[in-house]
Amino acid sequence: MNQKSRKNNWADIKLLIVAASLTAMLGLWNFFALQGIKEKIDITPSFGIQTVTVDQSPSKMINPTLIPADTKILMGGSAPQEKIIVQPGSAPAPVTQTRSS
Amino acid sequence: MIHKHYFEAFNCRMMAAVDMEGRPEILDQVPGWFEEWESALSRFRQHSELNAVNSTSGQPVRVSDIFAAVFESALNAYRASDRLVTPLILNAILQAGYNRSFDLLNAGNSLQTFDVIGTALDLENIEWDARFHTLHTPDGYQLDFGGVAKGWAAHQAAIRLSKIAPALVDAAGDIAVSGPGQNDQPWLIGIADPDNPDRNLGLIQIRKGGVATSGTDRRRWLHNGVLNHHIIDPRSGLPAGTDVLTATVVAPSIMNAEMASKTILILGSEQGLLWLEKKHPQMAAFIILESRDCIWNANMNTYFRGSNGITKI
Repeated sequence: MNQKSRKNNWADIKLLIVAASLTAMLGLWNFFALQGIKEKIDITPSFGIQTVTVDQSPSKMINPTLIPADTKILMGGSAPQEKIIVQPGSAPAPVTQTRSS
Repeated sequence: MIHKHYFEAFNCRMMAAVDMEGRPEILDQVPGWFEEWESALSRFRQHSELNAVNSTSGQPVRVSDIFAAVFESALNAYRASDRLVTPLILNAILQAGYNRSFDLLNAGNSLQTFDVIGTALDLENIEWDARFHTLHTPDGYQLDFGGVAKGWAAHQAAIRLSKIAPALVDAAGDIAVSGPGQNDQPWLIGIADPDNPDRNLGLIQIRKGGVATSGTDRRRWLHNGVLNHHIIDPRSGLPAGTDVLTATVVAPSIMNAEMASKTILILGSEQGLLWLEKKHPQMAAFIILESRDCIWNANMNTYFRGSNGITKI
């Protein structure tokens, strides 16, 4: 009877150790797994409004593409105005022309 | 600011321009001036003084101040061109059927080939009294002032306008310039492409004087396979046999420019440039050949606007 009881005690101890080990493992697993997750945004609950917790929107991935040489790149602010550039040496319109008649 | 006024005269489109701030009323008077001159000098006006003088050939006749000034201008051109630019070619032109303004003619039906009219008449045979404006033409002599009259009229108009402001007068491509424009700026003038007159081959800038272009590119027609045009060589009485399509000359006056451009056209490019260098070394010439090659003398370089003034055609 005592032997059986000692066996049960030992079995209980092993079960306890296994349970503790599993609990510790799951706890550590969750602990380290959460390190990579972005921090959560808490919205302070207001009266009459349900509390909602949302994840931060993920960043958009933009794949770089080649831009044609004649493409205008607007960097914000007002759009650039069209300008007429008079190059040095370009001739103005003549008053008239000489020709045979 | 340049103000322009376009009008018709001598069966051509004319333009008068002045360079000043406000548009002057005198511009509106310019067509009236030309009407007065044309009514005296045109052989296409039945009652013109020119036709009256031609009808009294063989008798002395007193002429108006306008007629006298143009006759002397024609006499000067005759002498300066070694007798190649003469008003005494009317018989040859009439023989060809060129008895109305070219624009009114149906070239295919009315114009015939030229026939040789014999020895060219000598303008010096006309007795001219400059003091009393008396003209005595031998029998058979008929005058036609043609381009001389247009050039003289443009010159006179530019002089009158210059009393108000710097002026330019364009008589169907022959141009008189009274002096530099406002701020001492030269006048810009295009040289027309004979194959596409709306386009300029290049630009020249003129401060004072005249520019004229003579050519066989207009008023030409085919007859029995022979190309005829209206520039007569008085040595033969025939349309000039020339390698020049157009000749443009810049000279101290529009009358000199008109005389020289016509002489170069009659002589041909090589002889023409030699003649200009020998007789009128101060003038500038730009020639477009029948082959469409362009040649010019050294004086012309001073008038070109920019180093790429001319596009080869």
